[in-house]
Amino acid sequence: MKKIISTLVVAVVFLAGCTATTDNSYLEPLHTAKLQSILIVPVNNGTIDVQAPTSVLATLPFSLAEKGYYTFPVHTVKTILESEGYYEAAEVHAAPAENLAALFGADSVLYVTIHEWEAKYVILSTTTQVDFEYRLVDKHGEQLWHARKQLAYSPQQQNSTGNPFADLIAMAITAAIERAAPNYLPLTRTANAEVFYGLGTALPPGPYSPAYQEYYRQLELQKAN
Amino acid sequence: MKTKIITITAAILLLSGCATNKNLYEWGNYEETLFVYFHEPEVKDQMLTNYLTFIEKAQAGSAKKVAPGLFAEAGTFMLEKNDVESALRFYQLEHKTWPESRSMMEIMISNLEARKAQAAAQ
Repeated sequence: MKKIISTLVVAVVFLAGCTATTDNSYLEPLHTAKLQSILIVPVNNGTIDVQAPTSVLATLPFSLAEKGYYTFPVHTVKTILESEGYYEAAEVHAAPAENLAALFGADSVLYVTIHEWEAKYVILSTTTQVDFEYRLVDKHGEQLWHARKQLAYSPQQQNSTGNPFADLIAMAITAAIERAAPNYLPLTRTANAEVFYGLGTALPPGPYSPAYQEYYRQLELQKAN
Repeated sequence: MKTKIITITAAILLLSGCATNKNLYEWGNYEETLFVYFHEPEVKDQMLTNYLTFIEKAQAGSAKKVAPGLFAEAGTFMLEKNDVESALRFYQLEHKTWPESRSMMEIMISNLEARKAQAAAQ
């Protein structure tokens, strides 16, 4: 019975997810901006884990490009920033967004900060507790969107968020890409997928998404009513 | 077991129902390549070779487009190996494929061409 209910919940959430009928007021700046491209700058690390920021950085393009946005090549961007004297992510985050956007010809800049990355070792498994902050600003430096994600990740277990829709998306994405170095990439993929696709924080489809035209058509219809 | 079936069914429904959940692009081993590149130097060369093979193959003909930025990354990897010709070729591919990349790629391409001209003059 419980399982039937959970299936129904999944189906309902799923249907709602495709037409965007939930409270979407946070989306208004994004709807106005209609971004084409996102410059993902190096991830700021507030922890002592040296592999964490590059793991987050490596997995950000997938979720965002699959949403339909042009994502700038993160390694190339990092290399160019280093040649411009920005060796530390913190320096990049402190630089004016409009300068960064102009340097690369980007519509928007995505800043991600890792506030927590802590592996807790227990007898049978490892749980990694993470806390990420995501901030998207336009090319003038105005904030368009903001999200914070806390997650406890255990590689062996099913990692539920209590949001079946986000869970399934995360599963589908994880399954779609090949096996990687344990823990780091699956963890960051899960967090990114939950943020960019989850209820309350999901980004609207970008111009390369097959859903783009229909999404904005529906939005116009809703406004007209 | 039952849960698994339900989950799989739901996942199939989800994937077939909503076009946005299918991958738009070919990604190859992009994320793994970056991770290895940053953290596991002993297998870096192998990983880069695999990545370039994927890029060449995907470019030659595949149903889906190569994901945004991936040609440019190949260019940067080649540049780090001091292969300016290949780097130029990949930057030009990125430039051609993605209009959003043009202002950035034009800078990279003109820098490399200047570097080439300088090397030829010497």
